[in-house]
Amino acid sequence: MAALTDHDTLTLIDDLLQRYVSALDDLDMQGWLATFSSDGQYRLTTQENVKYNLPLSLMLDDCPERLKDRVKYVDEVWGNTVEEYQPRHFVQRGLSKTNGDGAYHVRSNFSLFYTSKEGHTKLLTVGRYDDVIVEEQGVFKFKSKTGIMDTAVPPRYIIYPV
Amino acid sequence: MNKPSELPGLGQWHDHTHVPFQVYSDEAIYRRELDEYFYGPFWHPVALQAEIPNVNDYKSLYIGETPVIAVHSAEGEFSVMVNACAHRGVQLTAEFLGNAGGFTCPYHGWVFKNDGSLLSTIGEECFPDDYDPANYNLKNLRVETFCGIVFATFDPAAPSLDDFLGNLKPHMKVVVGGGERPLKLLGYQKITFNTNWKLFMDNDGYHAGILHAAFRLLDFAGGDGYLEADGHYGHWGMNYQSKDYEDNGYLNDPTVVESRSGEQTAAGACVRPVTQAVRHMDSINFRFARPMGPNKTEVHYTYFGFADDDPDLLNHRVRQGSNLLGPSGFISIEDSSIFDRSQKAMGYTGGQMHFLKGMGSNPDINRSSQNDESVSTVFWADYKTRMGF
Repeated sequence: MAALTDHDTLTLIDDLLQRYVSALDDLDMQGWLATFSSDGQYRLTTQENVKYNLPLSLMLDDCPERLKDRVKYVDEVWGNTVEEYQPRHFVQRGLSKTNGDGAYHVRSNFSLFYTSKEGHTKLLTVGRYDDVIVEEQGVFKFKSKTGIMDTAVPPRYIIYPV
Repeated sequence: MNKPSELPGLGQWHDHTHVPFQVYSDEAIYRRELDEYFYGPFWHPVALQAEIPNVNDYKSLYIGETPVIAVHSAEGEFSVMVNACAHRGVQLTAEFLGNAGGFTCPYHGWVFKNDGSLLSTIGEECFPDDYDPANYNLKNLRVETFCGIVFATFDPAAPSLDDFLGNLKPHMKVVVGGGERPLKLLGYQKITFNTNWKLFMDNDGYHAGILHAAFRLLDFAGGDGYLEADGHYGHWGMNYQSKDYEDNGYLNDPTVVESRSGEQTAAGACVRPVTQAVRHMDSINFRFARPMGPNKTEVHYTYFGFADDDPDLLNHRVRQGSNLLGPSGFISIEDSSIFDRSQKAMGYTGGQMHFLKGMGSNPDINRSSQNDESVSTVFWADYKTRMGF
């Protein structure tokens, strides 16, 4: 695959990364869902599982139906039982590649802070995304988004997608 | 050391079914628990053979606050030793999982075999005359296995593993599918709960249909299982056939809650002091835990399938494990919340935890319906005596 250098394409990729972050930081799960293509997939795992070639994940939405169910969990099921927090993502795009078939392979780093209802802020997790991005009806979307956490042991349980 | 019974307030603790909050938060009590429970006569599940399937495979973990290495030291044999050089205490490996024929200390180059025995040192000609290498093996724990589960204890006077597990054995056996079929490691979900280790273990049958909204929304609760305690340490277990999920249209993807393996669908074992083994639907997981002070517990949810599973079934187990029953799982995330929310008040010395459901007109405290909390009190009766309260 060749490094992606086209400025206009990179701008559209950045726009998608920002839409993703804004949706999650605004706790807008429908907005999160809208960043995935019609056959989109999402996975959150740890570098540790990847290192040992273990398939288990922390979240595994391997079909569009599961993405929709994750929206339900957060918006309808868990409600006020779980201890909500304010997420705040910081994402930096890294190397982007393409082999000219319309799919862009984009790697980016993330750090995610959380602020509790009581107002305390801590780092929740740090890691990288390995994304495959496609254009669907004129809009860039994730065909697959994989969050790989360097943080094997988060300081609290994670509620929302990362 | 300040004995816990001398701590203010605890002289008032008369009834083990009403537990003072202080027991979940006091630093001095916690230090004593490390000696009584973690370095005392308890057997700790440290690994499943499926995590270290080959000779020389090892896993690093903590028992209490002590780092240990569990090693598959020879075919079918396991060694568990303190992860600290016998010379100056340096951690020998920082890898979580690995394969090594031995361990070399980076500090002064002492080499230990994979069973912890000392192999070589550097500069031995300048050691004192009475230096005897036999005194410098790694600190080995007693090791026994049950159904492919490796247990270790620091205490030479601990009872046999068989006696320790007692009537928990059949329940554990169901969790691991009988003990004959080799398991296959699927992966880990690790988490910090901001809660006391005993609160993590107090989780009961009473809450299940009430707390977990997913069970209600899916009309997916019920069953007529019972919980069985051991009458001694406070282990308790269960195993029953839960009803299969019937799609009520709530989920867009109901396949994730299907039971496809044809195996028994519900089993659990609460192994004191701080391990849980759970089978639900087609998901098999061990929750290896360790206390990190009185207010924090680290838990490693460790998932398994069977080595002879076909790829579709294995993938199904991965999907269930990744989505349903972990610290962020669809069904179980609320447990995580309750652990953390319960700990917040434990510093209040006037408060008590009350164990009530199933305590009325119950002829056998070691047995209850699957929706009771009474079997938890078997642990608390033993705890109160063991800790000298």
